[in-house]
Amino acid sequence: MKSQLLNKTDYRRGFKAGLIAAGTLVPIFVGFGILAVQKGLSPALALITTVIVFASPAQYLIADMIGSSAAVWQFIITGILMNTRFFIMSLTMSHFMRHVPLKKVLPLAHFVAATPFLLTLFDKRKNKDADFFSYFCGVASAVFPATLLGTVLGFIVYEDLPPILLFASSLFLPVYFSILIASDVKKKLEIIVVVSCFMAAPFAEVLAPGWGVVLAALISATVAVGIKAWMQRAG
Amino acid sequence: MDAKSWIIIISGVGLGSYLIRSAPFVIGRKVKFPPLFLDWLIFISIGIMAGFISKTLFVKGSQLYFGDFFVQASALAIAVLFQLKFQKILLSVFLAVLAAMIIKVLLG
Repeated sequence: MKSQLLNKTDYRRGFKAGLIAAGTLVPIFVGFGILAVQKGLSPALALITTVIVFASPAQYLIADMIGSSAAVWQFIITGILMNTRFFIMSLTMSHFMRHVPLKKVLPLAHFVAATPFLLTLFDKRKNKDADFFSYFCGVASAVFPATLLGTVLGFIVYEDLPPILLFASSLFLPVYFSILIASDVKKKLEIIVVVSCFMAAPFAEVLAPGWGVVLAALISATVAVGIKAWMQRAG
Repeated sequence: MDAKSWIIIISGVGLGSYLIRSAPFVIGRKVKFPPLFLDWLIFISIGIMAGFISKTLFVKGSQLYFGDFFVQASALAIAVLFQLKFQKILLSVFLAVLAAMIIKVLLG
């Protein structure tokens, strides 16, 4: 008998979490839709870009390069470099998906991005028995259509949206992530990582666009794990 | 930019990004991680989430922006306090966003 690979309860919980995050993702991709059309891409090409790349920073970056003197290969290298942060995310996720056959995991690897990764990981920390793979599938099922919807809306309604609604929609994801952190992060070293990254990331992001958050996290995490190793040795 | 060039670009970016996203799932099965390495990965994840919050709030384009700091800080505080008290995530999120809109309108 085949074992049930997808836990429906965890899938539904993931889907609900993804819907909350979608509130912010839609306007982010509305912005991409506008930029793409402004840069001369057809709506169809902009939509295909979201489907194939599924990473707003890289999409913004390569769309913004249109009209520059960059060659095609430069666009490609730039877009890929921007997405190298997914390597660490996938590496972390792989630890929780060892029981899932690769043929099931690999097609879904396309949906590894900051929001699905973070939501799934935080749920796993809270619900140790939850099925990581099912929850991730649920989040991705909600988040991916939201990015497509946002891109399409970008062609249609952006200029008609009142500024106050645009501002409000930009708050969904940070507010939601703050709640997750406040509910879940209790250990001292984790709190140090949270505070240091929160403070350093905006400055790092200005210095190294697209990489600042990851760099701040890498440095803070390395220091924290160094402290932990030292504490273990010191007993 | 003609359509053919753009399709080559997004195919290249998409393929390269997919390899970056999928390779760790293959590597991760062949390597057993030491506990400290797993801790490191968890710290990175928490750090990315915290950094993502402040970046989303305080970076506009490629510049720092603290013009809505009070409204944004109020929204985060309301959300966290409401969540810690009542444990209702969805309600906390919407209440905080609604409060932020009201404060922003009142402040002009």
